[in-house]
Formats: sequence, C-alpha cells, structure tokens
Amino acid sequence: MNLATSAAEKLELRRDVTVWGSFMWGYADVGADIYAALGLVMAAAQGATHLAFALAGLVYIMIGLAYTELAATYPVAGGGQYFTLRGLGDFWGFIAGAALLLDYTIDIALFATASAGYVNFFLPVLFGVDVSQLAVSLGPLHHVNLFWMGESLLLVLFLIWLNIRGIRESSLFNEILGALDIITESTIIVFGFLFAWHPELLAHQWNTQFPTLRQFMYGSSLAIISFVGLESISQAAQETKRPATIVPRTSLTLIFTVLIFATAFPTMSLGVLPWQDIARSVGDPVARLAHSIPLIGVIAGPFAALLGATILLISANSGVMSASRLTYAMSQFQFISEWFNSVHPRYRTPHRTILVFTGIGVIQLVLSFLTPNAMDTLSNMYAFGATTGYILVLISLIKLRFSDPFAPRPYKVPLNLKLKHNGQRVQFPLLAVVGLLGVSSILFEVILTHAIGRIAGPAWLVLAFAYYAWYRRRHGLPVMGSLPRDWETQQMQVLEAAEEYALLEQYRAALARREGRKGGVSP
Amino acid sequence: MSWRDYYQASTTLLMFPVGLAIWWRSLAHLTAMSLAVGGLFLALATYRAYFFVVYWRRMKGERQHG
Repeated sequence: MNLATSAAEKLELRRDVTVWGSFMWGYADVGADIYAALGLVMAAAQGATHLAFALAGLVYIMIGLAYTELAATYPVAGGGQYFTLRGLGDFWGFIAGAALLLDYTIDIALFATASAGYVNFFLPVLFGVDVSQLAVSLGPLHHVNLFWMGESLLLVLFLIWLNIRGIRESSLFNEILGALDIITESTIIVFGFLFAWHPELLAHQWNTQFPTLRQFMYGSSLAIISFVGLESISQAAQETKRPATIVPRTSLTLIFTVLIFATAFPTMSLGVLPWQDIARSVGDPVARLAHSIPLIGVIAGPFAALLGATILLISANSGVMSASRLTYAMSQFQFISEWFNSVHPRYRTPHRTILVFTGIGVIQLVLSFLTPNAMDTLSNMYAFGATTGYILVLISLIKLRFSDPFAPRPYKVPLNLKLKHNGQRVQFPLLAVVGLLGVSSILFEVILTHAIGRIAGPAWLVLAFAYYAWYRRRHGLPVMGSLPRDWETQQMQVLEAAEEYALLEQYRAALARREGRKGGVSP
Repeated sequence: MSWRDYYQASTTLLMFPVGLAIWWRSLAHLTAMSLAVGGLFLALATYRAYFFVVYWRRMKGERQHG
C-alpha cells in the first residue's frame, strides 16, 4: 500500500467533531495534568511554585501556538512526529516519534498512578489509614508502596482490557466529564480566592520559603508536565471537518483555559495552605486543596478526588490510544516494522501495539515504585520526552516556513519577520525562536537536575535508534537519509478530505505560480 | 451564541468579582504580590470583556441594517 493511498484511507475516518467536542477532546487530555503536577512542583519549587508554573506556562503558550499553526496547516494525526518528518526528514521524524512514544508509555504509568492516588483520598475515611503508612522497606529499597503500585497496575490492566476489546469512552462522555471538570476547577478557584485565600500567607511563603536555584530549576522543569498533551490538538484536527476554521479557535481557547487553571491553582494553594501540606499530598493535591476550602470543602474535596481519579484514568487511556496511533503512523512511514500493525482477529484492535507499549508502561510503573517517590520518578522521564519532542516541533515550524511556503496557513504564530528566500517571500517566526530558547532551557534544567530523566531519557532514544538503524538496514533503506515522498499530492488529499476547498484552491494556485516561474506545467 | 461563548461569558463575569475580592482581602495585609494577582484577574476580565463590546456592537449594527 503506498503512502498516498493509506493517507486517503485514513482520512476517511473524518467525522463531524464540533467546536465544543474538539475543545473537550483536548481538555480531557491536557486539563488532567494539573491534578498530577501540583503536588510534585510544590515539593520542589516551594514558595515560588506559582512562578515556576507561570514560567513553564509562558513556554507552553509558544509551543501551543506552534501546534495550532501546524495542526491547522497539516490536519493529520501523528502530531509532532508528522510535523518533524515533514520539516526535518526521516531521521528526526523518527527521533521525535521515539520521544513522544516515551511520553505516551510514561503517560500510561504516571496517570494510572495519579488516578490511584486520588482513589486513595478516600482511604482514611473508609479504612482509617493513610496510603503513606502502607509503604514498606524491601532490603536496600525504602518507602516502597506496594499497595499503591498494585492499585495502579490494576488500573493499567483494566485499560489494556478495554482497549483490546475496543471499548472506548464516547465523545459525549468526554464532553460531559470535561464540562464537569471545568465547572469544578472554576468553583474551587472562585471559592478558594473568595473565602480561603490569605494574601499574607502567599507573601510569607514567597519571602521565607523561596527555593534554592537548583530546586527552582527542578520545579519549573516539572511544571511543564502540567501542559503536556498538546498532541491531542492534531489528533482532533485529523477527525474534524473544516479544521482550518475550528482548530485555531478551539486550540487557542484550550491554551488559554489550561494556562489560567495551571497558574491560578498554585497561586491560590500558596495562599490557602503551607506548601508542605500540598507537597505531602503528592497523590491527591487538588482534592486536599479543595477539602480545605470553607463552605464547599466537605463536598468539593471528595468530588474533586472522584473527578480527578476519573479524568486521570481517561488521560492514561489516551496514552494507550495515542501510542497505538503513533506506532501505526511510524510503521506507515517505514520507521518500525509492520508487525506492530496487526489487528486482533476478533476485536479488530491493534492488540500487539497495545500489549507491547502498555507493557513498557507497566515496567516503568513497577520500576518507579522501587524509588522513594514513584510520581516524581515518572515525571522526570515525562519532562524529558516532552521537551525533546517540542524542540523538534519548533525547529520544524521554522524549517517548514522556508521549505513549504506554499501550504496555506489558516493560522500563523504571531510576530513574523518578512524575508526573501530563493525568490519566495517567507515569514520568519520570531516567537518560535523565543519558544525554542524557552524549551531548550527547560530541557537543560531536566538534564541538569533530573537524576533519572537525564540517564533513562537519552538511553530510551539510543535504544530506539539502534532498532531503527537495524530495521532500515535490513530493508535496504537509508538510516540517516530520507525516503522520497510526494508531500504536495498528500497535502491536496488532506485538504480535500477536510473539505477545505478554498484552501485547496489557494494551494493549487500557489503551486501553479511556482511552476510558472520555473517555466514548467501547472498542476 | 454557542456553548463556547456562554463558557467565555461566564468565566469573564467570574473574573471581575474574584479580582475585586482579592484586592479587598489584600487591604488588611497589603503586598505587591496580592495586588498583582487581583490586578491580573481584573486585567484579564477587562480584556475579555472587550470582545463582548465588539459582539454587542456587531449585533446592534446587524439589527439596524435589518
């Protein structure tokens, strides 16, 4: 099957995802992150946690804008891996894919663990025991929480069963849950600021509990995990009709909403509770915070815990689904073996991908529980994979402005410098350069301060590359070079399938002008 | 108006009282940070409220022109 045919077949999957549906698709993925990140970042950045989130948020805006432009221009599932492949070629496309695959496997482990953490919010009420009391020592390993690990593993096994059987949550379920979450988070923030927030406590913690530079670097690099999941923007674009109109609107709203929550929660937390209280509740920080708000706390605490457990489980499930989508795309581009594409004879689901990559997630989960803080260890790896992928996406955005200036861009990252390149006018995205510097500094922080991430992250990429080199050599394909691909034909098919006829005409006209300049035949 | 518009309208309306309440609560212990937090909420609400002004003007214009 050639690439154009497979792309055309995939595009048949398009369905009419509404603006609200598209927004909620993304929100169910990114909106859950704060539930996991708040306690982790608080433990590192202490009295400056809100600053750590704000700085990571600034970088996130630039990454989000880059994803918005690329997803609206190339509305094809595959996300960062696809954009990097188009911009930088096969090798870097594979590296981006491997980094994102690391994130998806960690996503399964981290969010299943976090989901179990919110279930544990009820342990003191139901059984009179706190989950931290159940930790044991196993030889040289201390604070190993086998109970929490068992719960997390059960959740992952449940997800494997769901995905192999092909049972998925409906769009309506996602929309209702997303709406409930937005209402709950907004209520916690409004009530928290109105009735529980003490500005003097925030100022006191800022003045007396400011972290060291190393702690702050660690905290701000962890804060980026509260914004991970931007890939969902491109996943939604693939299945949305008229993505050029819908994607920029939903994407910008998503960026704005997540940013508001991610900066408001730590700011409020530091004015309501000492940072140590939130840091101690690393498994259920939002529920702990909600529980301490007067008037609504009695209900808001358990409700936030229940909602957190559900939305985090959905986020873990998105890791299982995204890993199979990504590996499918990678095998189509001849990066990995087609063996991964096999579907289950009865359930018609990609069972091999689900078992292999969720299995890797299970190994990561078990290993992380052998360290003193499982969530912290998993976040280390998560931050490495995300920042590596985002750097490549930002470079690709800049490169594609030069190498593919003809593709219509319904949305462009603001602040552009007009240049002439090979007789063609191009717009150089200054904000992407700023974003690139921002993400690079976060990756630098990760490598400098994350003891596990700096070793395990690159080791994952090296192992993945060894497999890639073996696979490509075995099939007589270039390892460092790229295969010839007809991007222009595919772009026309993508625009046609998306019913973006005006953009299709614009694209054809631009290509015709180029051919005219060359003295060739217009397409 | 779509669901998205209703959502934006309600969050904008909520930001005004939150910003004002933060300033009000800050009066007892005035710090630059609390003023900034309240100010950010108010600034954001004002910025977003501008879109409602544009919307109402457009609707008014459409009604006037039949």
